Amino acid sequence: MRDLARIVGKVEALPTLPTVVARINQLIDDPNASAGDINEVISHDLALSAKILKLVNSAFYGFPRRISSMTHAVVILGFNSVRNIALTAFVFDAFDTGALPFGHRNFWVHSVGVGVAADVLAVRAGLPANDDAFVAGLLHDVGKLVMHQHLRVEFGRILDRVAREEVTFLEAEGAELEFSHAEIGGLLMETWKLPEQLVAALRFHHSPSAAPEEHRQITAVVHLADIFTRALLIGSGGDHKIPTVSGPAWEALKLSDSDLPGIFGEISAEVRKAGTFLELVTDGRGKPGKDRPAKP
Amino acid sequence: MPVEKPLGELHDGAVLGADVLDARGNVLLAGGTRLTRAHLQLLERRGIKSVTVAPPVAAAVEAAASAGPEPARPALAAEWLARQERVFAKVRQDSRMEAIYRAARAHLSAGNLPPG
Repeated sequence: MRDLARIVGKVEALPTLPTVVARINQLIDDPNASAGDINEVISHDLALSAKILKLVNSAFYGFPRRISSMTHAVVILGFNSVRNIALTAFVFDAFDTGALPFGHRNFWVHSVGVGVAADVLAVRAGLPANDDAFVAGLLHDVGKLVMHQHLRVEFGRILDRVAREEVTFLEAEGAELEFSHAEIGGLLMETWKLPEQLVAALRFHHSPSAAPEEHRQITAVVHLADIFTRALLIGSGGDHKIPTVSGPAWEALKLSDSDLPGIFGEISAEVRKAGTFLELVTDGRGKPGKDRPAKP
Repeated sequence: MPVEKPLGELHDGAVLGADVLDARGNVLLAGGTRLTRAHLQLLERRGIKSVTVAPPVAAAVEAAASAGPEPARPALAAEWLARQERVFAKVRQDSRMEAIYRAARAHLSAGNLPPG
C-alpha cells in the first residue's frame, strides 16, 4: 500500500499558500490583531484586494452601499470571512482549470453550488454563523484539480472509466488509485495549515461517518450539499451519477423528506446570487467558451 | 411604522427600517436593505441582538421586486428531467435517494433549471 503523503509529496510544484493568505491565517489567531493589520497585509497584493472588494460588493453579499476600502470590508465581514475570500481567490488562480475535460465552468458552477448548499444546510443545522461551510463546500473537490494538474495520466484513466462504466468519479478513482481526491484535498488543506474542520470536511466528504467527532457536523453538511447539488444538476464534478447519501449524515442534520422542497428552493435562490464567484473564475485563464456546452 | 425585532425572529426578505451600527458607530447595514442569509449571519457574527425592520408591506414589495426564475421552456425542462433520470438510475432503491429524486424532480419541473 503506497502512502498518500509520500505520493503527493512526489508531485512537483504543488501550489504553496501565498504569504498573504498564510499571514491572514496567523492574524485570525492573534487576539490583538485589528482590521488595520489585515488591511496592511492585503494591501501588498493589489490583485487580491481588487478581488475581495469585487466579491464584497457583489449581489451575494448584497450591501446597498459600495464598500471601497479594505478596512471597511474587514470591519463588516470579519477576519474569518476575509481569510476565506482570499483563500477562494487564490485557489481560483492557482489551478489551471481551463483544460478540464468536463469543463472549467461546469466544475466551478458545481463547486459554487456545493458551497451555497453547504451554507444553507449549516444554517439549518445551527452551525456557527460564519462562512466556513460555504468555503468547505466550494473547495470540496480541490483534490480533483491537483489530480488533473499533477496526475494527468491517472486522471484521464479515471474519466475514461467514468464514461465507459457509467460510475461516479469516486468509484472510478477507487478502481484506478489507492487514494481519493477527497484525501488529496484534505492533505492540501493540512499542508496549507488551514483549520482542522476544513481539512476534515474535504477529507471525509464522501465518508462523513469517518470524520473526527468534533467535525462530523460540517462534514455531513458538505456531504449532503454535494448530493443535493448533483440532484439539482448544478454543474459537474466530472461524472453524471450520484452517490448514495450517508444515513448517519442525514440523521446528524435531523433532515426529513418534507424539508427537501424548502432546502432546494433556498439553494436555487442563493445560487442565482452567487454569480460573482463565477465571474471571478471566468475572468481567469479558462474561458467559458472553451467548455463543452453545459447541455443536459 | 418600523419595529424593533430580535435577530432570531428575522428571515430572509425582511427590510431594515434603520441603519444598523456596530459598537463604534460604523454602519454595518444601511436602512432599506432587504436582508439576506449573508446579512443575518453577518449581524449575528457582529453581536447584533436586534434590529429595526420596516413594516411587512415594504418587505413584500421588496421581495416582489427580486426576480425569480424565468418559466422554463417545456422541451428544455424535459431534457433536464431525462438527465436527472440517468443521474439517479442506480440509487433509487435507497429510500432517502428516492425522496431526494422526487423532491429534485418537482423542483426542476417547476422551472428551477440549473445555471449554465
